[in-house]
Amino acid sequence: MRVLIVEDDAELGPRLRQRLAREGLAVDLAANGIDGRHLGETEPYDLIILDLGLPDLSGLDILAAWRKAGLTVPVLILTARDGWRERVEGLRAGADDYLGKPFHTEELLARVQALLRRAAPVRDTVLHLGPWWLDEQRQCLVGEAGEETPLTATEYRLLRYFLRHPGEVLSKTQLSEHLYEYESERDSNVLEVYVRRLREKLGRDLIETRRGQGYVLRKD
Amino acid sequence: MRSLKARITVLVGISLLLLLAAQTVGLRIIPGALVEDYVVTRLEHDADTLYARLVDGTEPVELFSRTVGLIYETPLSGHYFRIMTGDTVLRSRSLWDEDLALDAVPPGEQQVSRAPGPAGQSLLIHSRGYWLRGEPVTIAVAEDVSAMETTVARLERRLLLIMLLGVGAVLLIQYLVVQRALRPVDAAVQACRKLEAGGAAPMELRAPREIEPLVEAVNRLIRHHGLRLERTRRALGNVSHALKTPLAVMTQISDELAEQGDRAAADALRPQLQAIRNTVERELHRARLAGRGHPGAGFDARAELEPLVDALRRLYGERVSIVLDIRGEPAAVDGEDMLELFGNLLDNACKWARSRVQITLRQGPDIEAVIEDDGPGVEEALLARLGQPGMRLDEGTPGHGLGLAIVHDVVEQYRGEIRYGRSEALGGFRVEVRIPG
Repeated sequence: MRVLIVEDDAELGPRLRQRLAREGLAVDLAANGIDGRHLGETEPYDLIILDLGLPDLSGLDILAAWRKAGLTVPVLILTARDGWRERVEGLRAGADDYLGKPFHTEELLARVQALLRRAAPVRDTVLHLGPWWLDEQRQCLVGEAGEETPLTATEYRLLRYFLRHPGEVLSKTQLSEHLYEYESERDSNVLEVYVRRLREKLGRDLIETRRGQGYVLRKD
Repeated sequence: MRSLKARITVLVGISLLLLLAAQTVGLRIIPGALVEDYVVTRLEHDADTLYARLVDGTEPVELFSRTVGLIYETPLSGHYFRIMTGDTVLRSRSLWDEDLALDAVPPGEQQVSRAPGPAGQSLLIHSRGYWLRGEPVTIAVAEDVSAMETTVARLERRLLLIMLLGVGAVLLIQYLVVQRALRPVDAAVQACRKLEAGGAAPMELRAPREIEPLVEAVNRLIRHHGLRLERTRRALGNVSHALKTPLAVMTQISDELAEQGDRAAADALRPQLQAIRNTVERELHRARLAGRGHPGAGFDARAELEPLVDALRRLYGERVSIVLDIRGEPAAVDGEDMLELFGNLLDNACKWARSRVQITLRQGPDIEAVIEDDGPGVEEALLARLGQPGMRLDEGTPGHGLGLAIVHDVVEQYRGEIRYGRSEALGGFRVEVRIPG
């Protein structure tokens, strides 16, 4: 899952980015409105966290521009101006949730997870896969008897994306766009390696290869 | 008398009544005088004719009547004469056996008098003194004017009646004219009221030149007030922004400390941060309230709450259905304040509701609203403590616990009332709030 944070505060932005990355999210940070708007328009994010009080562009205008351009990505507004007038304006401009500063990390994380769930085809709070379920807190697979199968960070990201989009043909480009940050090297061959590793852990048949198209997670 | 309309009406009415009185007096005098003048002239002619006959002397006096006119022969015809020479009195035949008690008039003089005549007649008498062959003669000619007087009186009554009706009509017309002439004043007053209630000054309003400056002054004052309120609110927003972002960073740091295992440091920081945050939030919110009776305020629940409910539907959309029932006209209270009030109350209701939230609102001039949900509600014992700062019932649900405290601030500012209880219709929490306009 890929998240964009548009936040001008030099302290808060990097901290949020770090914290969200720890949740297994690929996070990009834009420190001003112009970059933020551009990234939002060009990259396929699964969620955008938008500060309304940006120095160069109004967050509301950016949001309105995105919505006008047809972007349906969920947007969580983050702002220090949390009068109801601003809230109503923000939500009506197309925001999906609203969080006033200051906030606790858990609250932000809870809302981020809720929005990511809401936007994905599968909205279950707990993701199941055959005999396992995915523990998103500890980023591992848990079996019926409670035994844990550890996952690396990238495996976890990949598997979670598959689980949120079962039955869909996901191309390598699409997968890497949703799993990696903007700056990172994207080598689609690396993806093949991770898919192979997942198959080793989960069994061969769960993830099918469609030649020339991509991968599909079999629906139960 | 403070009403302009009443004043104008009374003044115009008084002048009209004075005019009516003058006309009545004129009506009493002029026709009577005209009739008398006319009759007297004729009597003079008859007197002169009689005198000419006397001077001529060729006719016997007894036959005068015939030549002067048959009318003087007919008994009680209403036309009489009486000629006095020394002791001799010559009366017209028409007098029959009545006589007119008249004094002699010295030659060269004349007098007009009135006297009751025979058979209830009313006589106008013209007497004149002449010299006839060295002797003074008085010739008096009389005519009955009672018929004419009756006609004149009837005419007078009719004219008076028409004039009364006319005055009535004119009074009515002038009342309507005053109403119409002062309509721009009413419009100006309405415009000022509208301005006060937060509406825009209608562009097509052409107040009378005398009143225009007043409307403009009111408009300017209200605009000025509005701008100042807006400036204050913007400044408070900036302060809030400037304080809250660093606070957010510090909150992040404390959360990170906790995650890294330094519980002691996190626990020391957190209450302090919470205290700062509560103070900033509550006090800035309170400072932003416009409060009661500020001019230029206007709140239309329809225009303001529908977007709010829209926004809440975006937040709670799938889980909660919100029913909004608004009746009445916009009220003169501040829109921002009401949005804070209803935003917090509705947000609470949505947070707690299982699936339904209902708002019933009557507006103008007061605002009375009932907000109900089908959530678990609040225990009787806790109701009284709701809205006290720091009192939180929703430990598990995200929020600051400041919402109801802010609601109470708004209600207090407007000297309104708020009551909590259990909803009969939905079974959950019920808030009843009344804001006097």
